[in-house]
Amino acid sequence: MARVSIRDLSVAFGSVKVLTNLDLEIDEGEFIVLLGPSGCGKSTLLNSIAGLLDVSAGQVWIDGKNVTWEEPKDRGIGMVFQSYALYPRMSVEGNLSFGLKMARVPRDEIARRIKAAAALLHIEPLMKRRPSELSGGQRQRVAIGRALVRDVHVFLFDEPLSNLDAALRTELRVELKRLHRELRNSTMIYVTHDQIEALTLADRIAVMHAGVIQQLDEPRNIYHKPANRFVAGFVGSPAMNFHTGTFRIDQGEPWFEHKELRQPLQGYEFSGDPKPGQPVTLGIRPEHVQVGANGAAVHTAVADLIEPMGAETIVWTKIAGAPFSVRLDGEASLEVGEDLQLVFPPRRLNLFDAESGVRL
Amino acid sequence: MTNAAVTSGLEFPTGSVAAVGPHGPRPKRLSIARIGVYAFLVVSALFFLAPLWVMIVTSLKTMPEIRQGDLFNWPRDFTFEPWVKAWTTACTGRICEGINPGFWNSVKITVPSVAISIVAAALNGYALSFWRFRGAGFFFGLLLFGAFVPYQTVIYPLIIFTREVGLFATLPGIILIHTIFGMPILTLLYRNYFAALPEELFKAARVDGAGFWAIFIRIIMPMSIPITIVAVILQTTGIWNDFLFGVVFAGRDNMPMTVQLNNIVTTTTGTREYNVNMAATILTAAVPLTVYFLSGRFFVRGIAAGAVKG
Repeated sequence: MARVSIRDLSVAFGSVKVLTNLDLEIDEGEFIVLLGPSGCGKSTLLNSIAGLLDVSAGQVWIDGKNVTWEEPKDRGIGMVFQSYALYPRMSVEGNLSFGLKMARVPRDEIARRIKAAAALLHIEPLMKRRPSELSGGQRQRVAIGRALVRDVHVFLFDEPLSNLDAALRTELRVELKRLHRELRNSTMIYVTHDQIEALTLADRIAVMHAGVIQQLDEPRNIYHKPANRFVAGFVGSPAMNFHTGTFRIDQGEPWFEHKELRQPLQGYEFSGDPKPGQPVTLGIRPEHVQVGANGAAVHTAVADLIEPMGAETIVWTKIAGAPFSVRLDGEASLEVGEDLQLVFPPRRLNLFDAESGVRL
Repeated sequence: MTNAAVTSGLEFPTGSVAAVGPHGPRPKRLSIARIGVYAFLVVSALFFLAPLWVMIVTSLKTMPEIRQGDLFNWPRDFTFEPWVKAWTTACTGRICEGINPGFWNSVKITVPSVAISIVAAALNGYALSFWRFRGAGFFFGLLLFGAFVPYQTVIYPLIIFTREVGLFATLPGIILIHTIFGMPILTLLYRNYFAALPEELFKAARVDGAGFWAIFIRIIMPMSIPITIVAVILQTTGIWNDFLFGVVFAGRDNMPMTVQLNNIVTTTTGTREYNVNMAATILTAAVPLTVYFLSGRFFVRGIAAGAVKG
């Protein structure tokens, strides 16, 4: 029973409009990730849901209740912050119990809830320590614990892993996913600019840009069928390769043309209806390029730079004068200056309107 | 052959070669410039310590010895008599009770003034940093403006004000005056300190259900111990050393130590007892001096915090 519903929400700081008429429906038990570059309004949205920010217009509904004007504590939410935000002068136990003491929860009930949260997060041995005596990972666990003991059904995460080093981040990411599975029916809203976190954790991802949700979909579709040029370019590393050219129909077959790059689109699943002569952007992910294959249209390119990354190798080349990256197997042996025969499988391609950026 | 020559030329110098060039820690040399700097510092220190030295030795001398001159000499007839007299029987006008009533008056003025002004300023800074209301910036600017108002210009209006509310020449009156005049600098101090605290801490406390007072008392103040020490030092020394407000607003019954000291020193009947005057002055200065000595580090930090982060 913890649906979150954002209806026609607008937030403005003075004359700067951060969010305008935003709608978002989040199902009970769903793990939703708000993904976007800094300044896209994702943290603003999260803070409005938490009640830490006054909205200019619209409504926030949590658990079937209009909480637009409620205090944060009355919304049935727990929140975890990027900087952990642990109370520095209190022990771990004090941090966990503070909210419950404020809510005048009975003493034995506080002890019971703290014990349960500590067991779930494996922080029992740390209870008497101060935050300054904890490592980053332990601090973030305590911060998650502070949200857990509140016995709420909606958890808000504001870039909780961004201050951790890479190894810990991976570890806690897995734990968060496990936690979400263990806390059945808990809705989680998670803000990040890290696409790996978004893709691994989310049931659905809302990609945001300039205060607008660009695409709200399952991770698979965000990655493989980006709704527009922004989503396509933001998700994926190295980024998708783009070429802007012209859409043509030649002897009944659809083609993409840009300088010497001529790519047949036979087999591409069109989402829109491009007209012949329309300027379009062609996108292909580095790992979808086939090397050395025989196909209808083979593009020849020279390897400029090779980045071996262990599990994979990124090769940088140029196609039609623009930098172009190809992701190869980690064992691929290649020399700089070598010729590459590249084939773009049409059903792996992405086609966008060159002006609006909308998927075609 | 040429190849070998090239490689040996590129080799890192070892053995006797290394001993020639600079290696290891830089040698410490006492240069002439250094000596000059130290000499200057020592002379300056002596220069500024000289008056204190004169005060101490004079306060320990008998009057006949003082009349002989020899300002810097160690006392021949060592005596604590002037100290006892200064504390218990020195005269201000016709009352001869020594300076100790003034000491207790100063304590009565300083302790509540310091406490009240710090609590009020911490609250001000807290509200200005975390509960930003419309016009908070303007309000803060107005408060800061108060720091630049010369005291003398507002004394007369303040006399009328305190008279009208019935606080003129009373203990609460002088405490109120000190609290008001401590507000700008202390608020600045606290606001800047709070501005550096992470805002997420405040947000977390709000999600945890803490309100205005709970966050202030249970989260923010426990984190503000360093800046509070600074504030206590600034206020204690400032209020203890105050003469102007004390003489105007405290009233005859609450004369602070500084005012009483002035009365003892300037009393013109009979001979001037320099040794008693010196002892009384040292006694008056003892409190702020002790505070400085015990807390030099915090004091400097406070000045820096107030000055740099405006």
